[in-house]
Amino acid sequence: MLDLYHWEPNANSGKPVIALLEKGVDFTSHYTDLLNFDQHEPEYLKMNPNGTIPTLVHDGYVLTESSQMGEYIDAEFEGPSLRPEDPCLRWRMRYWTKFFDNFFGPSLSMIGWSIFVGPMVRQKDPEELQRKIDRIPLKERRVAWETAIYNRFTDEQLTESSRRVQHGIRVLEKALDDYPYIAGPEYSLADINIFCMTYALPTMQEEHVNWGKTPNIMEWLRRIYARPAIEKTFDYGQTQLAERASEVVEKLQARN
Amino acid sequence: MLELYHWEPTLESAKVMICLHEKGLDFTGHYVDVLELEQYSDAFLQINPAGQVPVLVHDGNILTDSTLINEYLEEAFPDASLASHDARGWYETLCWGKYVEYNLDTSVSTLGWHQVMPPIMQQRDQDRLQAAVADIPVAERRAAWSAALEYAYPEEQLENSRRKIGLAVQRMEETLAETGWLLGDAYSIIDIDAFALMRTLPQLTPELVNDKDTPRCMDWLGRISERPAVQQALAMGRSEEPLYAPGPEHSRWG
Repeated sequence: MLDLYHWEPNANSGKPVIALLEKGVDFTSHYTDLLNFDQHEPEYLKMNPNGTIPTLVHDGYVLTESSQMGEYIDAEFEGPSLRPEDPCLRWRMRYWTKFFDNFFGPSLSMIGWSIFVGPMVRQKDPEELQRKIDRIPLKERRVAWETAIYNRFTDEQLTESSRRVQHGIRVLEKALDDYPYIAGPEYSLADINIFCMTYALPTMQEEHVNWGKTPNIMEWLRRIYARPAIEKTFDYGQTQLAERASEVVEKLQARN
Repeated sequence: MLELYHWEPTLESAKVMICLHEKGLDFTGHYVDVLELEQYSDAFLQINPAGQVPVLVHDGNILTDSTLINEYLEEAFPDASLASHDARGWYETLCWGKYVEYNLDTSVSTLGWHQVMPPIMQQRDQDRLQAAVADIPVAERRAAWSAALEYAYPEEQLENSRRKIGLAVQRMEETLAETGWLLGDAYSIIDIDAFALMRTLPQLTPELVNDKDTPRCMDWLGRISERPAVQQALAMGRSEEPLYAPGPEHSRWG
């Protein structure tokens, strides 16, 4: 029995969805609406007390760390390998995943929340919204959600986040000079994890990510979008977030 | 050939120094004086553009980030195994590595700098230090050092650091009841990583780590510090007292 609780195939939720589809593993999908705070419902918290998404449950064993989950999926199930054999390339896979998880991701999501997700959530009834915020179990997450929902980011914070996103784009472009994929000659979990945070950059960060400035990233995205598993991945989305993928594909094909 | 660029055996450097000794690997150590900001010298930035120690160089391959280096050592040198490699065991190793780093690295660095370093650092020429900090090419590290040289971290950061250490110590105290180790039934890289970050806590935060409230943590710290490999690693330091440097930044999301 394999059950995956996930939101849109975006950021953390996308990682296990893609890994499972790449391995060809059957799983039961449970769409968990992040913006409706489904992850803080008592039933969900019984399974994952931190109230984070995604959660993977394999024969009763519960996994809640999205980047590390990929290594479990790769080791546990049959199917094409998603990790290089060479320990140096495995280090590279984890190094880049961690850089994007710790440095790039939080900055990109700060921008995403301020312009996109925050306004969507603020359409809810204010009292209802506050009740939902108050029951968030982790203090860090409660503070983060409040800040994001009410857009309490300062200009300074948003400027710094933009700087970090652009720095991340530059180093990713440079890393792809070495190999066609992030960890090395072969596609790996690093590509999966980082794709989940970068798949919309050619539209979200159009002036920084394009064929003129970042040909390596564009070429890499095009290779990944062409994978059958990725095409299926976006079928797991229910909002306009997943619709961005088709706009990006148009841009990737429009190389002159 | 293995070479390790390291500083004092506190925090990140200690993690890798202990792991190399536990695995019985021959390596050449290169001491980088972090308080002299040698990690931002042109020569060192050639090795690691992030300007951080430790750095492991293995047959020409450069490996950074202490948690990831120990995972690498465990996979590249599987003899003298220090982790479980089945799907669950390895997943839990990766998760614990993240947990230990997230809860302790920044927090212990913050409190260590705040409580131990001002009298040591203030004996040095502040103008020269400020000038060296202004030259740090990595923006986040420049900001971290500038804040550190004010010797006045905001109370909120100190409190948050104590809170996170308290949470981690409580979780460990409960976990240690089962087998005496943090993960599975044997000493592992998770014990090494956590020990490296926690070994000075009985002095730094005696209200959180002490014989009365956290006897298992105290016993665990004692057992690990008696290991020959740990003593060899700690003997690689130059200072009589543990030293601290500004650690990774606090979360920008609050």
